[in-house]
Amino acid sequence: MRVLNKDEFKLPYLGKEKFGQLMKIGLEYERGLFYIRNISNIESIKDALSEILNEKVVFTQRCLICGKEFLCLDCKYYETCSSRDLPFHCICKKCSDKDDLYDRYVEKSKQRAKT
Amino acid sequence: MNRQMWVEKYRPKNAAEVMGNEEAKVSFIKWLKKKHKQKAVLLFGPAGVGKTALVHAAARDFNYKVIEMNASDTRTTKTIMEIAGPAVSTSSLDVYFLSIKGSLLLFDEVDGIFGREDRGGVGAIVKIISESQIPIVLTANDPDIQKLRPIIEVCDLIKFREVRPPLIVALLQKICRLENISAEKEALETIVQNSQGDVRSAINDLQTVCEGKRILRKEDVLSIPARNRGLDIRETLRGVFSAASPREARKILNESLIDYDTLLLAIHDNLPLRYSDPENLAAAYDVLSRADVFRGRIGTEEWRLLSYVFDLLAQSTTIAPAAFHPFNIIFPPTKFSLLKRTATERSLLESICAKIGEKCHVSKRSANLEFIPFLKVILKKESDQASKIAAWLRLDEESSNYLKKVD
Repeated sequence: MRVLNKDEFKLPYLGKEKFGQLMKIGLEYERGLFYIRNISNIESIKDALSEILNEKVVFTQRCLICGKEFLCLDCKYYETCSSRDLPFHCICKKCSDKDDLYDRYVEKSKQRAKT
Repeated sequence: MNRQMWVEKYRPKNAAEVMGNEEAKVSFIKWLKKKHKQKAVLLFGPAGVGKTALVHAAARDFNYKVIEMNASDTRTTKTIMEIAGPAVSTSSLDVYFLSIKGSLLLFDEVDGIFGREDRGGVGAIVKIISESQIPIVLTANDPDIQKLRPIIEVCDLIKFREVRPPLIVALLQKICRLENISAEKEALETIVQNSQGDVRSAINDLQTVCEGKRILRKEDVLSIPARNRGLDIRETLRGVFSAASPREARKILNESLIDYDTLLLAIHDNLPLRYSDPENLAAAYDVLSRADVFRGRIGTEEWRLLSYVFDLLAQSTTIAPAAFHPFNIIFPPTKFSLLKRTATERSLLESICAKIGEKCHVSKRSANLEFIPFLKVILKKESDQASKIAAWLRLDEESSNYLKKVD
């Protein structure tokens, strides 16, 4: 299993053809790092990366509340989540046990909107 | 007891309260702030994930008035132009009297525009978008529908996905607190699991099971059946190709929302990526060809044969289940891409044939078969005679260049 950071990640040398394929389906490349340009196409990007690297690819998640990075494997809803292992925002295990989670979420959303 | 639907009572009042789909929310708000290339944006994704809620909430945040046409309205060309036409063509007096920023036109569930009742609706919407002076927002569950392609070409697209379970659990906990209901977390988790990312259905289920209760226990929610959301094309293809058996693949096909013709083409395109062994590939195409034969025999009456089509599709994708490795799914089928790419060329050729037919008093078919081959040769010579002929036929530069380059 290959874990890739949701914001930026490195890949081994791919060759011209595979590099071009990744650029076409929605990745960007700058100074040795790959970034996801087209998040709408993330399922295809993940499939392509799995095929190229010949192993399962998972992306890290970022907690909307505390900002910590974590893996979907740590989540108790892993089996039922349809977007598992894709690089989206979520709530980490520690924050999901907080009582006022909804209010914290709305507060953080408002802060993000201002920035 | 207050009978108001909780989905209405707890509808998000601002964009921050819309749960999930952070990336889509940011993209939409950027679009609304006029950092967009197109006048219209299409929000697409499964039902109940917050597309329409976000539009209304963000409109409130940014002081827009929403003019809505939704799935329950009849949306013929006439009604669309009557309702939306004035709104998009003139500045609203509301801007001055109500101190709002302006109007925003919302076409909700635009993929429901089909059938005789909504004749011409797609064309009218495209016309409205091209002439509009106000932002236009459309929502759809499935944008992969042929009839929506004219709309998709003139819109920015923003994809919404199922809302993740922890967020829905947080929302249900909040609702329970506000309704003075003490709910076990396992009960809420069961509701969320059954909803499959659909916030609206999770809230509806919560309200149903909480009817007449002040305490919600895990046993109280056991009666809620799991929703069958239906799979989109990528989920379907991923599922059938990685299935461990034809039975498993057949189950996935049963849950698919995709029409069988598109499925057949999509499976056809992806078989070479699935099977690297030539023998397996040959066997898969053999089975697929039989599915195609059954499909052809259905016609308009023999729908009982459809079951065999699905059985054979399931077999074609599971020839060698142990040899599966992940691959990049091809979609849309290459036939659709090819047709789209050549549509412009076919349209150009048709207009050239029409001009020849008008001048030479022949049919467009005769023009294509008997005149075009000679015209190509003449134009490629680029002589004075060629220019005179092109001028006489009133061929524009695009038409002349097309005839010169095509074989």
